[in-house]
Amino acid sequence: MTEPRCAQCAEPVAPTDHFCETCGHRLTAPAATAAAPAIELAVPAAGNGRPARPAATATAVPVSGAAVGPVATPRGSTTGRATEPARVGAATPGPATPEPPAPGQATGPAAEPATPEPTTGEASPGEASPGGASPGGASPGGASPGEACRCGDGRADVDGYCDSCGTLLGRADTQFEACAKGAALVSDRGLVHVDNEDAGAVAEAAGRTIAVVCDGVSSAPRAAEAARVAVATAIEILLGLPPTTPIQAGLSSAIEAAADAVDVLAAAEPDGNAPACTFVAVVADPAGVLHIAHVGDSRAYWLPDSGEPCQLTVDDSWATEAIDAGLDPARAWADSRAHALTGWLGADAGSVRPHVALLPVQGPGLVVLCSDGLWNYLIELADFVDRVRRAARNSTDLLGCARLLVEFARGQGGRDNITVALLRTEEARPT
Amino acid sequence: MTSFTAETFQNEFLPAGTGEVDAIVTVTATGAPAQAVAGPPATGRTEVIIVDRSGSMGGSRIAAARKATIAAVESIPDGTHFAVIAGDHAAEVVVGLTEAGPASRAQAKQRIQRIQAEGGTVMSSWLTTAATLFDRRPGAINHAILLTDGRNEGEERSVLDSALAAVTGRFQCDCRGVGTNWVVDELRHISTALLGTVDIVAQPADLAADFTSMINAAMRRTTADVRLRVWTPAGATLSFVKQVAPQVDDLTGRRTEVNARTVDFATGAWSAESRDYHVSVTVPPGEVGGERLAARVSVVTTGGDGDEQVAAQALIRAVWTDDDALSTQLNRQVAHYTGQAELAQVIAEGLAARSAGDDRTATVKLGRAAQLAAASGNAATSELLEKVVEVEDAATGTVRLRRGVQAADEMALDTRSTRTVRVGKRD
Repeated sequence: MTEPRCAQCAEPVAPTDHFCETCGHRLTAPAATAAAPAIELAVPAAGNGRPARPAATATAVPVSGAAVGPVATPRGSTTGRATEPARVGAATPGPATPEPPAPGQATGPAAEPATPEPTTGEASPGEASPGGASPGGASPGGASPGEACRCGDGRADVDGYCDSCGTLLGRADTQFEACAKGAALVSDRGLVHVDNEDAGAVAEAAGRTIAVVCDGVSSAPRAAEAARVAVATAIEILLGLPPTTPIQAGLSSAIEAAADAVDVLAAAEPDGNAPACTFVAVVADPAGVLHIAHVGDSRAYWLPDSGEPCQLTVDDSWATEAIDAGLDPARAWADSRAHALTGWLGADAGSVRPHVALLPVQGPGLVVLCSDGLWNYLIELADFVDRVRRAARNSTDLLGCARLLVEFARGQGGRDNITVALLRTEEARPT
Repeated sequence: MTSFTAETFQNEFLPAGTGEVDAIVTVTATGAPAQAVAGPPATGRTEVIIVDRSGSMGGSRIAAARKATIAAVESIPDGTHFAVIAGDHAAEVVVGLTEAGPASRAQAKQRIQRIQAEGGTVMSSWLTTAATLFDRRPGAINHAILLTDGRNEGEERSVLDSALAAVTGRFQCDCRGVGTNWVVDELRHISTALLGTVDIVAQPADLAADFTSMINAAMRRTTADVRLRVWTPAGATLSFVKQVAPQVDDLTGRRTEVNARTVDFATGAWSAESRDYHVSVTVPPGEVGGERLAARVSVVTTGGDGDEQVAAQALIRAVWTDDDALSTQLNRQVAHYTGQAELAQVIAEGLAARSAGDDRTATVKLGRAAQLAAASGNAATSELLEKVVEVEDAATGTVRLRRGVQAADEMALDTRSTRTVRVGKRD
């Protein structure tokens, strides 16, 4: 029997490959003999066996440019803008210049999927698109230019500051929201961080609901960019999965490709500091299975309408591993090393493997994905579940619920960026 | 076509209840050719050379001054307009305002050769006459060189000050003192008001090279009348704006008001270059977790049609936090330039103390200068200091005043004390 070869590059491929290892071309899954990927039940206990890291695609999947996060500005120093000379009246030195396109600006929905009519919620209203359209549209927490300030004397300028008293009324580029059918996401920079280095997206296609949340590692350069490119890469792959492709395999490819995309960012860093981020993604399929992929300490939880809630992911963090090894949880979380990551996406992540798992669920419920800016205030599962259920009771839709959770975290001090994504699963359809 | 960028370096985090914000704003102009332009910019250029021909200039000095002026005229490219003024108790326009070309240069040379030294020194008349010449070519990039060898003895300081106020903004002027009988503070007073440099040329023979280099530098400037516009919010105080690179120059007193919250600082004409500014603002404290725009710094130029353009902007922010780790960090750039500004200041104070005979203060101040210069890697200033003090231990600032310091060395330290070194941009 002749060796199967890739239709695109003619390199040999293995019968079980779903993507060509040389050129990344998606291969049609050979009839029913596709090897089933390892199934791993995610339970909130110690000692998960970690599946082998799937073979990486040789070429990085190009990012379509759909923005999945806010416009990033470097921490600790503000980059000013070089603007096209614009006319201003002699007496009013207002910043009447269009902002130049910044990296990561929204250009629109993600790449066209092969499946019919997905809905994708990306980025935020209020973000300027390249081409100089002025930021418009109020988004909660982000002031639109011209909005009146509490001081009574001024209005928000293009940067979101009151032009009289200078107070920041809100900046559209540090808070963003997204909606899709059965999913919602809210992200906020919190109260302490100046930039939002979280990124996320939600989408729905062919009955599958998708959510991805990534948290850029602030101590490494270009954290926001790492998070955004990871989200964008993963979403593109997940939306583009043919209906016949097993979601587990697709999810593996997605997190792999995201890892590669973040790895590539390190090439531009002269000091060798590799940009890095966490990753958590959930795909809920109509057959009633939750597919989860993650690395790092951004989490996913399952809150069934009836039944036991659980945390779907186990953090790659010092505290989790210490507790695993027997340390008292209160002491572990109190330690200054608690949040040190033991796994992440980035060129320096070494041999850590991302975790891909699935959980068949019965009946309807809520999937919650979040960065540590939320769960850090709700370490006990019972507290977390309680807070989410309370937010759900006090809101009329998923977006409202996500906003309340973000508000809660801000009220607790907002020490970190906060991102919450919610997926609603209905009764499993009979297959 | 020159384009500008403005970048802010600061630690934006403040402890609750405070409001002092310090930032370094780096303004960079790019796009102008590095070499002298072959032809004048659209707005045109005018050069005026002012030569002191008072009696004390007699002998080698006036001969060298003539040579240097001729060298300067020869460096002026075709198309640029120029004039030469010989100054004593009055100002004689030796070479009338004319467009540079082979014929006009040749004629200028002949006239310059005839300049003789005699008479007193009344600088106000030189400046006023130069201004009148510049006014004949509105909109051009106006630059003058002023050479003197002595004090402005022919008039009261107040008269010079009035003339200076009247000509400020009409042209930029680089001042040079030849020999050591002139007063650094006096020339610096003129050069800072007229946005130029001041320096000592101890040996007359070195004048020609210095003049040529000043003309070449002027020819590289292609954007006229660049202003730094600073907006601060209601209730805020703009404590100071100082240029800190390439030289320290406190601009605060020279601001002009645009409106209740906005002031302008003239920075003259720019070539392809970069200058750093230290902006210090005090704002009303905000609540923890809140943020306020402390200042908006804009680079404003005037287009050919006379309209103002905002060429670049930088934001200076204040963010309140109760996290000490965030608010107690000192931004590297701010710390560095605060040190460079202090360096210039202690040198000035040290030299003043020394002239007044207060050796103890001079030793302390110049010792601190040696310490700052060494710590910041300002080798040029360390070298100049070594001519005036013997440095026993730069790290602790232990120095000993030298006896028998050459006047030229002391004046070199004085004039060049404001030159700073930069720090790397990476945080």
